[in-house]
Amino acid sequence: MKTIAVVEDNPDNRLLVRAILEDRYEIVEYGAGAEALHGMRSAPPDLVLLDISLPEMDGTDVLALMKSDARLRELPVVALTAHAMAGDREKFLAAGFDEYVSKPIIDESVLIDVVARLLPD
Amino acid sequence: MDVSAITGDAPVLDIRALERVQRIGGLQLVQRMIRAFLEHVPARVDALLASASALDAARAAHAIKSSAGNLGLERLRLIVQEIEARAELGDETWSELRMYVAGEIDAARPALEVHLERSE
Repeated sequence: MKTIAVVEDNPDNRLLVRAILEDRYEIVEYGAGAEALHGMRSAPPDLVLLDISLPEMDGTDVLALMKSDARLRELPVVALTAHAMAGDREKFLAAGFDEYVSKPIIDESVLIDVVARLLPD
Repeated sequence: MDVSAITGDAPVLDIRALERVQRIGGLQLVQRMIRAFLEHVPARVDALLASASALDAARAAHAIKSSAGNLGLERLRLIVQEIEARAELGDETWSELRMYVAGEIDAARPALEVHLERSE
């Protein structure tokens, strides 16, 4: 089973994402960017769901550090954000994310489809 | 400040959000998410009230907004969304508006606790 790292400081968001994906994937949760980088360097996942608004080190900082690390730079990374502004998707793709999913997750099939597209069987 | 201009006739709790969560993970997920919210939101409100800068306030409001959206706490979501927007725009009225957040959570608490007592 492929592994997804969920980097999200909000416990109820982590619960929801886990419930949506845990039948199909192994889920590893991190509540902060530094913790996630440490954990992922030890055990790289197959895909990362990365919240943008993390305390201390935000999601774009985490992504930049991943891209500078040979063990992590090739991993697909999906931005999770509750900002949901027009043009967000293009902004996050330009910043180096592979996809973008807005929160709250109204339709779980959006998240399932994005992950399935980036992690084909 | 009249927050009704922000909240309009939005409900304290939009039950459709909890129905969506229940469809994904059953009543157990609903209850776990409510418990997580009630456990963690006081610290987030404290952070909002202690925010000395607009940037800190926007971050704290954003964190509450995410949970409010998950659980269908519409009045709360609209208020913290407005705090976040005003703080990001440099509109200093964010500071006044944050005083209404704890009251909205108190108003939502009984509606959430009903769902903690439900059984399938």
